Amino acid sequence: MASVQCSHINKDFGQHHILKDISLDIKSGEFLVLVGPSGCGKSTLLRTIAGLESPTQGDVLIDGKSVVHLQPRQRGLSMVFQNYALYPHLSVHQNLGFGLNLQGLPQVEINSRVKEVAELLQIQHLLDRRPKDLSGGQRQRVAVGRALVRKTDLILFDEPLSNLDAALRSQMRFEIKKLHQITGSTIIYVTHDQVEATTLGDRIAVLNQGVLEQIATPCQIYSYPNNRFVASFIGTPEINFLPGKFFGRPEAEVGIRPEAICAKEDGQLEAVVEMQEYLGSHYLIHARINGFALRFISEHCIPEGNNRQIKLKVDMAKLHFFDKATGARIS
Amino acid sequence: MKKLKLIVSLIILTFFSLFALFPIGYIFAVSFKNNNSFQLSSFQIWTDSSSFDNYIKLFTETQFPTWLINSLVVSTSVTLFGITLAAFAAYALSRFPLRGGPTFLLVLLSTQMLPATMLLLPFYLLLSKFGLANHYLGLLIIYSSTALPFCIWQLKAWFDSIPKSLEEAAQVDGSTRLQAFFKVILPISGPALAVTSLFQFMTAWSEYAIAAIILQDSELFTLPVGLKSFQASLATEWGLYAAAAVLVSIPAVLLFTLLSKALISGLTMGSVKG
Ligand SMILES: Nc1ncnc2c1ncn2[C@@H]1O[C@H](COP(=O)(O)OP(=O)(O)O)[C@@H](O)[C@H]1O
Ligand SMILES: [Mg+2]
Repeated sequence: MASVQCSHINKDFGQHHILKDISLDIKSGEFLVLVGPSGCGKSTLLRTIAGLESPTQGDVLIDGKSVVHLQPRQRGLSMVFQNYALYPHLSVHQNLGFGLNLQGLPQVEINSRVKEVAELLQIQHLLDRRPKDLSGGQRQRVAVGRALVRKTDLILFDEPLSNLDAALRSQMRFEIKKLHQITGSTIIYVTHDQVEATTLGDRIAVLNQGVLEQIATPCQIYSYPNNRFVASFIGTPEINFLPGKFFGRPEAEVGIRPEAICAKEDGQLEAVVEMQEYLGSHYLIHARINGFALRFISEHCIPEGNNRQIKLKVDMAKLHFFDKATGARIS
Repeated sequence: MKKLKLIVSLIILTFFSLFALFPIGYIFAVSFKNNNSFQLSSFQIWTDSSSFDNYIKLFTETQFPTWLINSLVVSTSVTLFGITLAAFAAYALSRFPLRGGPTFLLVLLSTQMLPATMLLLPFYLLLSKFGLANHYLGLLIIYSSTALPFCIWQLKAWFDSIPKSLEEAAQVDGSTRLQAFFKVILPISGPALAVTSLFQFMTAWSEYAIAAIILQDSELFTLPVGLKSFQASLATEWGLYAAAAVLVSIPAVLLFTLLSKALISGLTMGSVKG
């Protein structure tokens, strides 16, 4: 098991300041998800930890030892790349064994480790194939296998599921979570998909334009977002923002999760229903209050009539207040 | 209408094919004749009076075997030396953000604009100064260096098309940068290396002007220079000349055939992804 610390990491590419003073503490055995919109610097941070980029400033420590001056191969970690990066000239077996070969392990040992991992990932029947003869999902498994087979204490994932279709993605998500429980390795997992983040992570680090906005458990992030950005980025359907004047807090902006709103006769807000989306188990209702858009979830379809005027009740305990200017949370 | 188009294109194609093939047939025919004349009485390649005498004479009575070996040695060393230099240079230019890298690449290309014949005299003077005139090493240096810019460009384009994550994966897996180059990048660069090597080899194999100036000793001649010397004697030995010409083209044809598969994939290089 390995713990990872990033301390005051800054990274510039030419004129562009990509990572801005990022400090992170990842516990041994933890599954940490780095999430944020595309282009925010997630991969850069991950690659800095891997040693594929060096920070302009700051330090990376693995198990308490600074590794910024070490090559990737000396850091004792493995990595799954977004485009899988399988060696095209090698068979699946050789792909898996590549790192073990470099370590100089005896062939018998290599074969048994490869076999073990292949069984774990159910790719035993693919061992003789070349990467070009595999489907996307199979390549993905091989890429994960190549990282697992070296039994490193730290495994890095860079958007490993983004090239898969939805069904495969949710299955692999489940399997990666299971693999974490089996191996117990520390995992740092990069994604732009907040569903992946909340389902996989022990903790989530939300990154925005190179700034670490918040790091906390999925539940804490969802219930107590640090600022407006985190509140809007985590959670589907997205949180609603209304001017504070509706709640007597003109200095603030109010965030209301869709599930904190329901249609009730004795509701305190008047709204007009614009559209209803049927989502199987529930409806997503699009409404307006004095021209401000509001989405909420309802188990039932809102009946037509009354010009679609309805009354909404808001769970006041679940409101989030954010400073209008800075976006920071006001408690 | 369609038929007319077909006929017209057939005629045109036939004409140009004949135009391309005629000299080759002619050379074959002359090489089988014994009277050392360049005139043919008929367009038959093989007649009753034809024989392999010229070929036999070439190997027994001339320095052809020596020249053949000379040419093979020179061309092979140029290829090995050049491809090694080009591969490392191209990889560095493709992967490392060198200061002035793009400018360097342009300068490299601009050296290709001067025809080698223009540089004959300076080359010769330079080599004489270093005592490398009438020496293979001089030829090796000139051939490799004149072919190098093109080879670097070609290989760089190939390396550019290989995703960097391949080497990064290898590095994370435990290899050094150099190991990643040898174990991952080179093995998947077969087609590009084949095209570039062939170019290097053919340049050296068929080059005449520079070799003619640098090599004065007939023991050291490469094939093109040797062949020309058949003409220099009082009466040109056309039969020998033709037979030698046929033999000289054999390695080229062989190489093209052997590498044809790699060549085809190499010529569409940019579209191949690792
Ligand atoms: N090697 C590089 N050179 C210059 N800019 C880069 C380089 N790598 C990444 N960037 C820039 O850094 C920013 C963050 O990139 P990245 O970390 O890949 O984002 P993410 O993975 O979150 O989508 C992007 O704007 C990208 O253009
Ligand atoms: Mg990325």
